[in-house]
Formats: sequence, structure tokens, C-alpha cells
Amino acid sequence: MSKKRLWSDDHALVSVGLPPETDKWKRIKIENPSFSEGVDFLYQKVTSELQKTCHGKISRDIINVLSDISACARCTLRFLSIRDWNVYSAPEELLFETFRRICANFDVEPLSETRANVYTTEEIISPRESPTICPLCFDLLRFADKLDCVWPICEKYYAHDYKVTDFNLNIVLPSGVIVKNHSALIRIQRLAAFTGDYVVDLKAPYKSLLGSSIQEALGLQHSSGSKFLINVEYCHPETQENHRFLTRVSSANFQLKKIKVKGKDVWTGDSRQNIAKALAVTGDDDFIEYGEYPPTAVTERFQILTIRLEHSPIFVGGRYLKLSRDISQTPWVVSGSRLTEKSVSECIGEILREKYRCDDYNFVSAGREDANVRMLGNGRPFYLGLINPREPCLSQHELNDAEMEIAELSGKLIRAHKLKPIDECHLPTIKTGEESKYIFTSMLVWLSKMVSTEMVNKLNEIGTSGITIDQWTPIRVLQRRALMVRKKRIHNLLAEALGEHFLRIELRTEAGTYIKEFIHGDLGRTTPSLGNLVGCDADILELDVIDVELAWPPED
Amino acid sequence: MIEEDYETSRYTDLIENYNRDPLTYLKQYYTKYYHVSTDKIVNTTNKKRPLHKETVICVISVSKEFDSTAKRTEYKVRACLAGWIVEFNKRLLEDEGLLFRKPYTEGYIAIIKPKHENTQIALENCLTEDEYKASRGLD
Repeated sequence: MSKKRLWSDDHALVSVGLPPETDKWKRIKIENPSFSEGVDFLYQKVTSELQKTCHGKISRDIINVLSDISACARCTLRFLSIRDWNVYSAPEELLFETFRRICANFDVEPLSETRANVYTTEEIISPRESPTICPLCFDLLRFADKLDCVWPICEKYYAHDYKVTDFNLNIVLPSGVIVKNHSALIRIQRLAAFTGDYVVDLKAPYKSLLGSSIQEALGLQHSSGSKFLINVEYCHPETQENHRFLTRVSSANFQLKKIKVKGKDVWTGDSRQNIAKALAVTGDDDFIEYGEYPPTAVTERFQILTIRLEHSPIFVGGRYLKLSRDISQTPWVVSGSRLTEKSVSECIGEILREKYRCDDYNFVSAGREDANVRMLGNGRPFYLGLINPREPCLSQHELNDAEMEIAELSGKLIRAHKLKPIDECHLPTIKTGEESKYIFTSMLVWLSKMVSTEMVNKLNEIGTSGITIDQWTPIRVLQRRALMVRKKRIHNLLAEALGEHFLRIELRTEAGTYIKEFIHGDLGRTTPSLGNLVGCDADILELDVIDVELAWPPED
Repeated sequence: MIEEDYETSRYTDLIENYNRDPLTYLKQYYTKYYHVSTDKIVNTTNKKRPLHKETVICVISVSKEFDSTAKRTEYKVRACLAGWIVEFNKRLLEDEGLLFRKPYTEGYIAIIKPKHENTQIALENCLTEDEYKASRGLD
């Protein structure tokens, strides 16, 4: 048995093809009654929004500047500072019609009718008439509700077969948009009296549109509190270096450093945050001289760099029993070879891993016992953190099945019971409360002296009131723990004669007490030892943990 | 609820050895190695504590065969293995006699963590118990 640490190979990925009836350019229909009304309604909405931010001729000027650089309709809305996301979902030709009307209000020449840039709703674009790509969003915003953006995400979701009801979105945009948009803003400001304080950043409308599309396509709720995260990172190779010029601008305070990562030289210092910061302090004249001004056309669309789906960890806890003296708690590997074939963490972890379909698991328990010590009674409290579960919610019935399978897998030597999902807030209980936890143990002890009734009585008398012992770090753990003395409390001791040289001892001790060392004395480093108490040598032959006193799993 | 039950009959052979020599129980934790110093007077033993071939730690003490009635009062004790000293036995400061009364238990001199994990390399300058007994003509 070994702990599998694989990623996508492990769970059978469902292979899904593109449904035959979809048309690549067909828009995903978003339920929005306002647009069944048409352009008049849209015009009303847009102009009422414009009242708040772009008065009078400014809106006309903005529309013209952006039209000159072939920006898409939605990017134009951004610079018009429109924050009603429903407006963004309107078809492009309606938006441009609205812009035409706005410009017409100012008695200026209307925008040219032969805009090569407009998509109609059902149009299938042939390569000859390929419209220009928006230089401000690289067509990301334009296709936010088209299959280009949505399908790769759906494909991955179906392939991993997640069983969730909601999602949250995390988007990383191509770095090139920062400089492009800054350039457009300066252009507008040079030609119109426009502060640009309320210009909408690309990310917010993009997330809103993409989120709605995914909601529609997968039937999941877009919610910021969701535990299921869809991470998408986009790139645009054509513009990904367009911030480099800033290193030549002294006022930008932008420097790149070369560092070694894993032996290779890597340039750092050009994070999106740093680029934005540098642009904020760069003077407009410097930008115009050294940077790209006005924003130039692009010849390629955006690319999807990575899509990563991840569900936050789920915790399952319970108590385990270990009935074998040949099983360690966690995998015991020395110099590449295993010392015990099985381990508790693997028996429980592998079963749960299959049921929850997760990438990996972490086993955490309240203390531990050696491989040759049995864990009996109510069992030891533990929990498992399951990483990126594809099925985060299992029923109690399925958890009961898991308990049976764990017993089967271990040949009835490991039992897990009281398995239930644990809320994150309860996890610290396992590790805290060390001082108040009691450990009950039972053991078979050999004495070099003959066992007598007086001896047993004396031990029981001491055992009623308990003793405090000093334990120096046991020799067997000295290589990994610091050398120090620990005062530990033996709360109760019970002794029973089992033969001429044998005793059965039961102890109730403070958590963290080294039981074996208390019996044999560890070359005099644990005092008083059991041997000291009866005045002879002693050794421990068998040890069992009877109970770990800790309320676990927590009640709901 | 699994009841713990101890079958003492399983251990009859074991405790026969234990009863003959009470320190036999140490054998399940430690293996003795010997080193004889060049002047052939001081003998030290290295007790190797292997935890199923896990990291080894050594306890240094004076062997029982050491003649404590000899005239000299000062001896240099060599550990004869490369490593780090983890602990000096401070009990010896209060009770020097421990060194000879209980050399294999409370009277140890020091604990050393060997530099080499491989026991054969770490203790290459030492003799096993059988080799030592043969060299001294003991049984």
C-alpha cells in the first residue's frame, strides 16, 4: 500500500466533446427582458447613466476617440463610466446605434455607417472580413458571453465531474491591457476635458459577464462566498512586454531585477501591481514619448493560459482504533524502505480519497502511539483534510460505507468510527487542550524482583494519590527533539499481580507522558520510574492505549 | 470494546534470561560494541541503539571489565566514533561511584549522535561483543 499523490490521472476524467448543435459564434442567451425592447430602451438607460459622469460633449468625444482606435462597444462603455452590467450584455450593434444617437445630439457628423467593427447577432464571421480586434481588451470583453470564453471552462468542469452548486471566479487578465488602457485614457484626456476618475476597469464587467454565462451554461450560482473557485489566467503574447519601456523612464521608478529561481535566471519586478504603480507616477509627457501612444492596433486575440478548478478543503473527523502491533500511525519509511506495511493514515485516507475524489489528504490526530502499541477503547480522535474534493458533500450513509471499507482494507485491524464532516472552526480542538487531556493505558510489566502482595499494595497506595515524575527527553527520540526535562503527572496507578515476575499496570496520565520510559527508567533519565518505586529493574513487554479523553467529534 | 489480555506464558523463555542476568532486558534496546584504548587499560563500550535501522544513537560507558582498582586516577575516555555529543551524564558529578556500580544503566558517560547513519561505518573502530570476548579470552 502506498499513498497515491497523483493529480489528474487519478480520477477518471470524463471526456466531453463540443455539442454538435452549437455554433461557435452563437451567443449564450441571457434572460434579460430589457433588450427585447430594443435600442430605445438601451438609449434611455445609457444616457441616464451618462448624466452622472460624462456631461455634454465629453461623451461624444470619448466615443469618437475610441472609435478611431477600433475599440469594441463594451470598452467604450467602460470609458463612458457606465456601471450597470446589464447594459454591457446588450448586442454590439445596438450599443453602436446608441452611440450614434448620442453623437447625433451634438450636431456633429454621425459615425460612419460602414463600421467594419460591428458584429451582428447571428453573423458567422468569415476570415476575409475579420473585424479588427479591440486593442483595449483583446476581444476578451467582447467574447465574455460567447463560447470562446465559456466553453473551455465548461469542458474542464465536466471532465472532472465536480458535484457543486455554486462557484466563485478569479480572473487574471493579460498584462498588456494595463498599458493599452492607460494610453487610451491619456488620448481621451488630451482631446477632451475628462478626468477619467470613474473609468471602469476591465475586470469587473468581464467577471460579471463571464460569471453570468457560466451560471447559465452550468446551472451553478455565481457567489463570492462559494468554496468552489474557477481560476482563469489569460495571456496575450503580442503585448506582454509592452511595459518594458518603463525601465527607461526615470520618473516611473520601475526597475527589473534578475534573480535565480531553481538555478535559472529570471526577471522580476514587473508584476501587474508594479506596472500600475509605475504608470500612476509616470508623467503624461514621458508616457507619450517613450510608450505606445496612441494605442496601436493588435493582430491577435487573447489566449487562455490556464484554467484551474479548485474546491477548498473538506474536513472529515472521527476516532480510530488500531488492533495490531505491526501498524504505524503514519507511513514509516527509513532509507527508502517501509518498516510497516500498513499505516492508519493510509487505510483511512485512501478510502476517503476515493469517495471524495480529492487530490490529496492530510492526517491530523490528537497525539500518537508507536507501531507496537494498540489503540483500544473509544479510539483516538483524528481528522483528515481532503484537498480539492470533486464530491465535497457525502451522505452519512456513504460515510458509514467508508467505515466498513476501512475495516475491510485493514483486515479488521483498523477501525474508524463516528466519521462525520467537521467544520473548520472545530479543528484546533484536536491540538489544544494538551494539558487537560487524560490518557488511559494498560501494560504488561516484568520485574527483576519477585512480585509480592506488599509490593502490589504499595504501588496501589501510591497510585491512588498519584505522583509527578521528571522525564528527560528519552534517548530513543533524542535525535529529533530537544534535550530538556518535562514534569509529567501520573494521576492514577493500578497494579495487579499476574505471575512471579509479571504485573499488569493501568495508568491515567497527563498527555505527553512517555509511558515506556516511566517503566524502565531510560537509564535513570526518568525519575522516579516504576523500577525505582519497587526497588528493582523493570521492563515493559506490552502496551495498550485504552482511552484518549477528548470530546470528539464535536456535536453539531 | 476490545479487552486487553496479557498472556504471560508467551514470555517464559524471555524472562528466564532476564532472571539470570537482570540487565538482559537492555538487549532489546541496545547492542554493545567495545573499544580498547591503546594503553590497554581503559575499555569503553559503545551501546548502539538502533530503532529498527532508524537513526542510531550511542551511549558511552565504561565496560564492566575495567579494572577500577588500578593505580591511576585520571584517564582519557575516547568515544572512537565521529559525531556530536548530545548529553553528558550530570549524575556523575553528584555520584562518581555510579560510573563503576552501574556502568550500563545510570552510570553512562555521554550520549553521542553518530555522523554516519550506517552503523558499519560509524562503528568501524569498534569490536562487536563476540570479537571483544574472543580477543580477551572471555567466554
